[in-house]
Amino acid sequence: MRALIIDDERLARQELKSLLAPYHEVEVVGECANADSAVLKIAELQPDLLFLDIQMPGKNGFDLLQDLEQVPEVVFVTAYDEHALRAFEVNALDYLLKPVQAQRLAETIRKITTREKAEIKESSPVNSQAELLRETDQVFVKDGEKCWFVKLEDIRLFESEGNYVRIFFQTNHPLILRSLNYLDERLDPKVFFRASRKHILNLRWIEKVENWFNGGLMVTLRGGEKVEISRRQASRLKEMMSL
Amino acid sequence: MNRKALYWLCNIGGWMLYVLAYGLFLPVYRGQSSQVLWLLFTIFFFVLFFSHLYRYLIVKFRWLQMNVVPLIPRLAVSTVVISSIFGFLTVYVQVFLAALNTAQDTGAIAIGQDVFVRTILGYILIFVLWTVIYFAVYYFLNYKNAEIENLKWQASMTEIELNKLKSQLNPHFVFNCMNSIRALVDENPGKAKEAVTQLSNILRNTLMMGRNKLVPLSEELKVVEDYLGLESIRLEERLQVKMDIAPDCLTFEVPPLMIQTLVENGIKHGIARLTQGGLLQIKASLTSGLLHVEIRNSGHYKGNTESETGFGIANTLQRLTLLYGDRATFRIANESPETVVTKLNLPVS
Repeated sequence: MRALIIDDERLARQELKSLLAPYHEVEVVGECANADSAVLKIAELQPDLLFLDIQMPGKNGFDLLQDLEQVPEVVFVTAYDEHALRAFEVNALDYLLKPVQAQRLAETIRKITTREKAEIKESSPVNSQAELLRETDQVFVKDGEKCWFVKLEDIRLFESEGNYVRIFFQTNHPLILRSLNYLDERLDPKVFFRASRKHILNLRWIEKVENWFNGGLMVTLRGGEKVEISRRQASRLKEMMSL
Repeated sequence: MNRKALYWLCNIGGWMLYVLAYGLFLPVYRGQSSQVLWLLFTIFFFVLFFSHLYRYLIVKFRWLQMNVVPLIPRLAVSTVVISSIFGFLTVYVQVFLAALNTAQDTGAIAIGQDVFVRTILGYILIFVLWTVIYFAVYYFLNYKNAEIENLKWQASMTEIELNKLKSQLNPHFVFNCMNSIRALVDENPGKAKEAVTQLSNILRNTLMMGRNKLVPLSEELKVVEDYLGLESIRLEERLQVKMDIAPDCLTFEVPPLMIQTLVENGIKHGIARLTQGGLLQIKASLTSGLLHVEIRNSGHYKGNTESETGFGIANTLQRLTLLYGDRATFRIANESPETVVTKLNLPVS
């Protein structure tokens, strides 16, 4: 696993590197002192794993994750951050407290490697720019106090709301700062269907399709959301569904 | 069960038992059982009325909250008065009933003084017993409540103390330091040792903060230097420090950890947030008996938007008011878009 360490303190990065040295399964491919350089480094190195400090000058760890369109696995490394930790108990891969205990780190690494084995990797990333986002890719979403890592396959619906897009997964529907057009270009068209100017829906979450006025369709998703589809898009959807 | 219900249950139930017992020991009333019942009913309602009146006095004059010494005479007097009135009443009721029974004029029945004395003494005994039970139940119920209240109070005090300590210790700083020191142990053991000493010094000063009201500036600056030493281990080249202290200030007495807190604020909310870091300047001078301290740091002060900053400032203001009244001044302002200045003026205490 290729890991990137992001922490504003040189000594903290060094300490983590020396703690990670005995683990051959984790290779530290680089380190960054702030969020802006990290965004570039992540695009360049395509790491599988981030060791991320939350409190950093400029943009903090959460801001960084929100800027990434495709979030690798993340282990938070923080000194003392009650609020952040509470927010993350939900589904962060793991978090470590500074000073990091060697034993605790061993546990984290074990967790990461078992998870890696469990996941069937379709293909290794070749070229980040041209490639579409995969269903198993995750995005980071922060809504007030709460944070989630959400896999694209779990998102039923994207709904445009000004400069933001509201995403629907489980029982949550937070906003993310992306435009719907941007997402449309990046999402796999075999799975995600542009239903209208306002909506992109996940075909795997469709529960039923009914005929609607003027040759349009009304799609009901398994979460209960209803999306109206215009006649023009309806014929496209029918085409896709029949494939 | 609430207290009112308990009171009524005990009061009515108790007096019923008393009246029943009284009826049993009454010399069989010359075969007039209906008159005996009347007598018992009357006594029951009288006694209920008087005991309730008594309780009303106890509640109204807050005797329950009173100390024992002033309480005893009050209870004694009211017991005697109530028992006497009640005693006379019951004696006259009995006379009245007896008169009815024998078809005599009530005035014709002679009552010996000893009858009154015996009756009244008996009632005094009973009302004393009532008082004892009433107060015992009250104290018993309140004892438990008071204990719970006391525990709650202690818990909240502990929490306040803990929060105070936490805000002083700044766990984020402490744990980051520990982490840096760990890395230094390999890289530069000498520096690591120094850092441990510096951190110890800060922790000791924090823990003893309440001990001294004032310390000489030289001592306060020692803590500030240790603190800056640790921060520069973390921030490295991102933190630059300039100190300009007039030698005549060094013996001036200042509140412990106050300048340190302000310096820490400047770093935490200013320099540490800048990717490129910045400069921290501390100036101290003495003019006409007033100590002027100026702390300049790179950054931008946004007012009391963040609760944490607000807390540090509020805390400093509160301490200044407590120590100096309105003779000390303190303010934070943006000197330029990139520099924040904190000015503190302290009088001789």
